[in-house]
Amino acid sequence: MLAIQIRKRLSTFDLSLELQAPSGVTALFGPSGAGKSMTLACIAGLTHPDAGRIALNGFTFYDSDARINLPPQRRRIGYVMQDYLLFPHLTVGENVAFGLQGLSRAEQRRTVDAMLERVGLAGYAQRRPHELSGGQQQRVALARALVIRPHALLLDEPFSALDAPTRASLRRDLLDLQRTLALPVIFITHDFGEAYLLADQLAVLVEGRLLQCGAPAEVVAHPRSQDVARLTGSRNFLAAEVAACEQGVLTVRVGDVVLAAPCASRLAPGDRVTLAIRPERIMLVRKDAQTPARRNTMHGVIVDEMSDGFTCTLFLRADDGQRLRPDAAYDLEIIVPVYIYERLHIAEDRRWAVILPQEAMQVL
Amino acid sequence: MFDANWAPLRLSLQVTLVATLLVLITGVPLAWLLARKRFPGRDAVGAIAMLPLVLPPTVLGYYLLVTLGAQSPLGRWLAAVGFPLVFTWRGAVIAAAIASFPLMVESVRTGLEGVDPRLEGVARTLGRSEWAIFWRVTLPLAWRSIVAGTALTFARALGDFGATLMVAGNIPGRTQTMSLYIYDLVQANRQGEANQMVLLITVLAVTLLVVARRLNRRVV
Repeated sequence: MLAIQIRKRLSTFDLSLELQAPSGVTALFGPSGAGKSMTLACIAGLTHPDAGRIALNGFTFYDSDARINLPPQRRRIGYVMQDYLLFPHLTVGENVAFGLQGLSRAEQRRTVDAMLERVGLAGYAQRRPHELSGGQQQRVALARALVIRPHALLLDEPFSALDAPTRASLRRDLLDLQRTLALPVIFITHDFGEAYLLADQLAVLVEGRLLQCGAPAEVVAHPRSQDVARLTGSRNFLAAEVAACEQGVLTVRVGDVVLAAPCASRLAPGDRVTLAIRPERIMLVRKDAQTPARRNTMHGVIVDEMSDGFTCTLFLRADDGQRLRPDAAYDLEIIVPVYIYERLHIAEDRRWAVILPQEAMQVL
Repeated sequence: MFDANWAPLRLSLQVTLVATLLVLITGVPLAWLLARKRFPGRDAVGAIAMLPLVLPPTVLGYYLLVTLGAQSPLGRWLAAVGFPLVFTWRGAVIAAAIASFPLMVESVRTGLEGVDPRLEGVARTLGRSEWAIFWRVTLPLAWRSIVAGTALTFARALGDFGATLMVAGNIPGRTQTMSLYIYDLVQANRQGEANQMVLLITVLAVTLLVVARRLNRRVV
């Protein structure tokens, strides 16, 4: 367990966070310049916070009150920085062996070879870093960090500089590795999909503050603020007014319509809230469906769309009298997989009925 | 050519070698401090280290003469322990070393600043001592700048005239270096001998400059 509680004044904001990273993968997720890298540097001991406490498995690295500040050499933390930072004048083998001390030449060689094999680079010991691809350099950096048998592993944007297939394969490798390591791994990412894929614990950091921390599915389902909802992929932020809150159902007035939403916290009629609707959970109703009119059903026209090759984002403008945002060009952003887009012939058919299920809604 | 007076060349090489060595062992640590450490008065130290580059050599020599001469406590002490500097070849070493010191510091400082400090950071997390990091990471990545600085220092020390003249004088066979000897030859209208010496020095200096530039260009 890595326990962090730090404060540090940075040029544009104060970094202030408290975080427990148990064995497993913790994703430090947030936009660039949120203080993520600074947090890792504090844990590794390459810089120190202004105040706070950092301890690993009960062993204190840093404590401003007790005036403890162990140098990085005595922390035994594997730290893979951005750009991997291999020593350019050393071979791959020498890079990996850099942190090995007190071993005979033969033992050192055996350890390095075993580690290179483990990261899939057996036989690369004599190569130079500049001869390797980005993904291979990343593996060497990981091997170099792991060979000292660290008590925790820090990864700063480990996949951001790689092409998509390499990234996918390295992500899988990291998951496999984590199962055999059983130590706290903290990795930084500003890619929500990556954070969701790899993390056991998702920590959302914005401008030096930890906005929310929990299991990824939990954070996505119950974001505590608009910032978290936005960063975890929610869209459709709608101004709403509470009409009633009874028997677990929240009735809210949004624009011209009345919607039923999950009733989470204590809300009274007249309260103003923000309703966020996850775009991938909005359902398109098939034309031939014989379902009776359901709650939260709306009709409208798709006025615009865009696709990233995997999914299509549709912009739906509701019919007059059903507008959610009467002043805007459209009311809802809806995301559907490309195959659904094709199967439903959305390209030709522009009029649709949509259902807003309760699990798509977040009341903020 | 064969009956030329080789004593000044021999003395010049001796003085230059010792001066270069002196600058190497003092300049590299100072360059490291300036490149890597934050301490009060850092800017002032950096500026003072550059001073010999902008001061007229005679002014530099005058300061040295005043500091090390028989009138100063330091000079009296040096004379008392049997190690007088002024008007000896050792004085010429001091003059040449101080005149060339900025070139070493500047070259090495630039080289060290070109080494990504994050590499040293990684090395720290891997448990290696600061000493090991300097020898195994910093120095190997900056060695070109050190060789380049050494070549420049050597060339500058070899050519010093003003400061050497002020501190060591121009005593044939004892403190008369090449630069001073060439001056004497020209003054005495011995054009032929002067030409030989000038050519020799020019070839040497140009060679060193080429070496320095080659190495510096490859410093990433």
